[in-house]
This record gives sequence, C-alpha cells and structure tokens, in this order.
Amino acid sequence: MGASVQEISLKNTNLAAPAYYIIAPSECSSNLSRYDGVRYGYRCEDPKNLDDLYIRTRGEGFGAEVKRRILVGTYALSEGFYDAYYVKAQKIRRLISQDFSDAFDEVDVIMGPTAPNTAFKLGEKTDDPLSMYLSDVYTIAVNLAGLPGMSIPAGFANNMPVGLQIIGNYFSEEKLLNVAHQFQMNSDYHLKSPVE
Amino acid sequence: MQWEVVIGLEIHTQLATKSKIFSGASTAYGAEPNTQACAVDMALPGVLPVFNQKALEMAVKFGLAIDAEIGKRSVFDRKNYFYPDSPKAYQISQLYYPIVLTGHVDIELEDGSTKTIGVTRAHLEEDAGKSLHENFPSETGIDLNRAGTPLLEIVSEPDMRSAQEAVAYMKKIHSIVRHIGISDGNMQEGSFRCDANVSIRPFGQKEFGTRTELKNINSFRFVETAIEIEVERQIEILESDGRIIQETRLYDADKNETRSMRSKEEANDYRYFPCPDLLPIDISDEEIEKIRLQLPEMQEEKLARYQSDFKLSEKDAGIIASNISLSDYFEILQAKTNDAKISANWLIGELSAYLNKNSLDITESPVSAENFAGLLNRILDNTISGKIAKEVFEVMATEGGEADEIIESKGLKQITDTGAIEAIIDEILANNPGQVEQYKAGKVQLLGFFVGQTMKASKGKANPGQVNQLLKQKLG
Repeated sequence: MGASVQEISLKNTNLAAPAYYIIAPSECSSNLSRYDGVRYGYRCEDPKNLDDLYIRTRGEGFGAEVKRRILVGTYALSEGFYDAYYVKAQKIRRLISQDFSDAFDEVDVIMGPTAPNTAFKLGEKTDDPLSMYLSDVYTIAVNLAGLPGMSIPAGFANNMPVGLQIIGNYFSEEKLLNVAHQFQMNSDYHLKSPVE
Repeated sequence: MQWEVVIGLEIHTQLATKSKIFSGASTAYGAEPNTQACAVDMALPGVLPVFNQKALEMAVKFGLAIDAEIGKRSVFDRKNYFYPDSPKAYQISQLYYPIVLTGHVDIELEDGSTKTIGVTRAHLEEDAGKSLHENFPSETGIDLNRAGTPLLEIVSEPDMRSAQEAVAYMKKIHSIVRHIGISDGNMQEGSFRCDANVSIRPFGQKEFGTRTELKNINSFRFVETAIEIEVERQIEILESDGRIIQETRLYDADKNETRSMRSKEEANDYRYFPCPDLLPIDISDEEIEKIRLQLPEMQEEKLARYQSDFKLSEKDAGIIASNISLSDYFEILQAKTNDAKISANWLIGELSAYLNKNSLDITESPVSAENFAGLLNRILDNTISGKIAKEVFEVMATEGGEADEIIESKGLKQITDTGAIEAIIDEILANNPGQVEQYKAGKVQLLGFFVGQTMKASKGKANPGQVNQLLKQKLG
C-alpha cells in the first residue's frame, strides 16, 4: 500500500476514560435539563403541580444510564466539587489533545483497535457500568481531543468482529476516507461475516 | 449608635441589538406572546447558539466609556436552574471571564462634590422569558419573546454610602448606556433594572456587615425608597440585638416594604461551567480601538468643551450635555447660527418649555433644529425682535412652516426704518405731554413707559434698540 508504519505513544490515554466520564455527564446533566415535559417529549400523566411535572416526567422518561449520567454530572459540577472534578478533567483533556498534536508532527494518521475487547452481549454489563465505560477507552480519547476518527472492519477474534480505528488531525476527514478506502482496496474484511 | 450604609448595585441593561444574543429572532418589544421566539429561544432539541457580534461591540463600548479594562478573552458559562420562563433550564452568562473588567464612573453628590464609584465588572448574558399571570386563572402563561434578549450586567463595588448615592450612580450608568447608544434605558419596558446589595456597619468599622440583596427595583424612586426602608429594617434589628440574615429580599412598592424571598441556605447551586456550545471570545487591541472610534464624545468632555469653546455657563452646558439628543440639536443650532449663547438660551428656554408642556422628547420636537436655527438667525440679523420671535415660534410649533415664510406672511418684519419709528414716537410724545414734562424734570425712569408705548403702537415690530436710542434723542 506504500505506507510506512511507525509506533507512537499517547502517554495520557489511560486518563481518557476518567476525564471523559466527568466531562460528558456534566454536559449531559445540563443538556438534558430541557426535557421537562413542557414543550416536547415524554410528559407524565396528570401532574399535580410544576415540580411534580418536572420530577415525574424526568423520573419516568429517562432510562437508568441517562439518570446515572445526570447524577454524576450534577455532582461533578456542584459547588465544592467543581475544581476537583470538572476543572481537573478539562486539564487532562488538554494533555490528551496535546499528545495527539505531538503525534501528528510525526505521522499522517494513527491506527489501532477501536475497542480493547470484542463486543459484549446485550445487557451483560448493565450492572458493571465501569467496565462498560472502559470498553470506550480508545475512542473517547479521540472525542476529547476533538479529532476526526473512523472505524472499519479488520477481521475476527473468536468469531467476533474487530474494528480498526483510523484517527486523523483536525480537518483531515478527506485523508481519513482515502486511507480507509486504500485499506479496503487491499483487504476483504468488510465483505466477510462471522461464521454461523 | 451611628450606622454607616454600604451599597453595591447590579444593573441589568438590555442591549439595543436588532436580534437576540444567540439567535436571529427579533428583540422588538411588545409583540404578541411567543411570536418572536425561534427554535433556539424555545430550546428545541439539537439547536445551537450563535453569538451576536453587535452585543460584543456594545459591551466593549460600555467598557471603554467607563475607562475599564476589556477582557481580551471572555467565556460564556451556563448557569443551571429550573424555571418555567427559562426553557433550556440554564442561562448563558459570563461568570469566570467577563467581557468588561474593573472600571469606574464619577457621580455628583448633593454638596456638589464628585465621588468615584468602582465598577467591578460587566458581563454579557441572555434575558429570560416572562411568566404571565393575568388572563390565566390558576395557571401561568409563558411568553418567550424576551428570552435571549442580550443583557449587560454591570456590577459595582460596594462604594455607595447612601440611597441618594445609589440613585446618582444608577442615573449615571443610565445616562452612559443611553449616551453611547447601547440601550434605550426604558425602565417601564424593563430595559434597565437593578438589584441592590445593602448592609450597615458602625461608623469607623472596617469589616462589612451582613448584606441583603434587594431584587428587581425598576425605577430611580424605588431604588431610593427600597434601600431606605431596608436600612431602617437592618438598624432596627441590630439595635435590638438581632442578627441580619444573608438573604434575597423582594421590594414591594405597593406595601412599601421588603420581604424575604430566600435565604443563603436555600440558594440554588447554579453549577456554573463553560458553555460547550460556544467558543471563547477573543478580541484584539485593533478591534477594541476600532470600537473606540465609534464612541461619541462623553458627557464630561462635552460639558468642558461647551464651557471653554462656547462660553456657556456651567448650568446651561450641564443641561445640554446631559442628553445626547439635546446636545445634537444644540450643535446644529450652534453651527447654523454661529451663536452658542442664543442657541442655548432658546433651546433651554422656549423650546424646552414647549416640549415639556406637551410631554414631548427633543427627538419629537415639531420644529427641526434647522428651522429653529432659521428663526434665531432672524433675531440675530434684527429682522424680528425676541418677542416677535416667540410668536413666530408658536406658529412654527403648532402649524409648522419656516420662520421666513411666517414672518413674511404675517407681516411681522421688524421696523428698522428710522423715519417710520420716529413718526410713531412723535405721536406717543404728543399724546402724553404730562409724562414728557415729568421726564424732562428728571424722572428718567419714565423712559421705559415711552419704550413700552412705542412698541405697543408698532405692534411689537419696532426695533427696541432703535426705539430706545431715538427716544433718548428726542427727550434729550
């Protein structure tokens, strides 16, 4: 394919999951506040008053994971905790972003597995959100840095599909698509399915 | 015990942008409810705010007008709270990095001295919608037309020491925002509102007392009375060995009392954090200087210039410089007549009296500055006397038209022909031999009588200067 491979290190990647699971729930706790049952979306039956409308609409309408994130985010932004959680997470975000910028001084695109494991079964990790969150560890670093990334089929492990993640620098979507296209011109993983 | 009052004000002024701070909806006042609320203002899912650059320029203008440092990088934060008229359930504001940093204004005290009041900061934020209770028995209507209207919140230092100083400061800020054209300052429509932080301490004590915050006081008069009764309340508590509770209080103008809204313990945790939907605003020195060029001359500079260049009295200069529309009008008069004195006299006198009588603003004057200057020029070139000019003005104000036409059509032109005036004088003297006798016997104050008679006989058209002079000659 004419590409050369160079190993790089993104030294703060291990901090991506903890930082992400502060920042994303914080934003989400604020973003989802507008779902109050007044203008659109789910609305509880026969609200007794305004607080009842807010509380039951949101209590009944949101699922467990959404509620968990709203609670975590609300906590992280609370007075007395903001500096220790949200501000610190944003500092880590900056370090992660800097790691990528340094790497792109050396290479055109970064490739690696999309996830540390193959897919888990539906509902398998509902009771263990932490391990579920950690399966996002390779992709959320990209989200935190604000970079474009994509995942394409790269074979199977134990008959479960494995994704190859391609990460590019800011505004390099065109290059990403070209690289993925070249990869698929020289491979046929994207044409295969798990063995029945 | 002698108590010292300590006051700081938070003033919210709506910025006079055409569209909202983060959306394209109109900010015009008084439309049918919810007709000026777009998807962004209604907080529909998936919408994103786009910052209105005009609001930035206006905020910077204010900063420059109060000699403040401008925040080269300012950041929007979200203030999270649930309230029906706040559809996003957060307000976009600036907590950590405001656009305007420390500045100051001078206020004039009752004894004529000036006092500098510090401005801690001023920041941009969006206004909320309105809850409507009338016409909705046992329900509340929500009007989102106001939601997203740009506000500049101006926070003062706790530098004021009386309700009167607070009013003077509020008036000063009001005149500045109007003068630099960033707000209409309309208090009835809520474009200019204020919260007051009030505390008292024994004279000489350094530490501040516990403060209370008085919410939403929307007139200069209410600021004064609200602060005064709150100070009285606090003195009463402390003098009976009580303790002031830090709380937010609401001023009730009807009952003339303040009452508790919520204590510090009940206060919301607003969970401020930088709004992820908006980039920080970076502004360069170059851009700031460009905005500085748009600033009109400030009131103090104008006041000084009117006294030094135009030789106006401090009082007249003060009246004219205090209102930009008035000073615009004055400057046209001055330029067209080349006589600042007569321009100021007639503007503050005749025209202002007419406008006051008819409850008109100078911008609504029925006589344009150009036409008014035309009238003054006829006084200056002796075509008419001041007395006749008042008549002409009355016609111009009520019926319209230019001074020259009216003077011509009504035959009001001043008589400056010496022969014609002499003829009138001769008649007057002939008809009043007794008075002539007395005058000649030394009762020279009768000159006024003869002048009056002559003017009357000429229907006010004789040139008073000439009448005086000729009478003196003839009575010699």
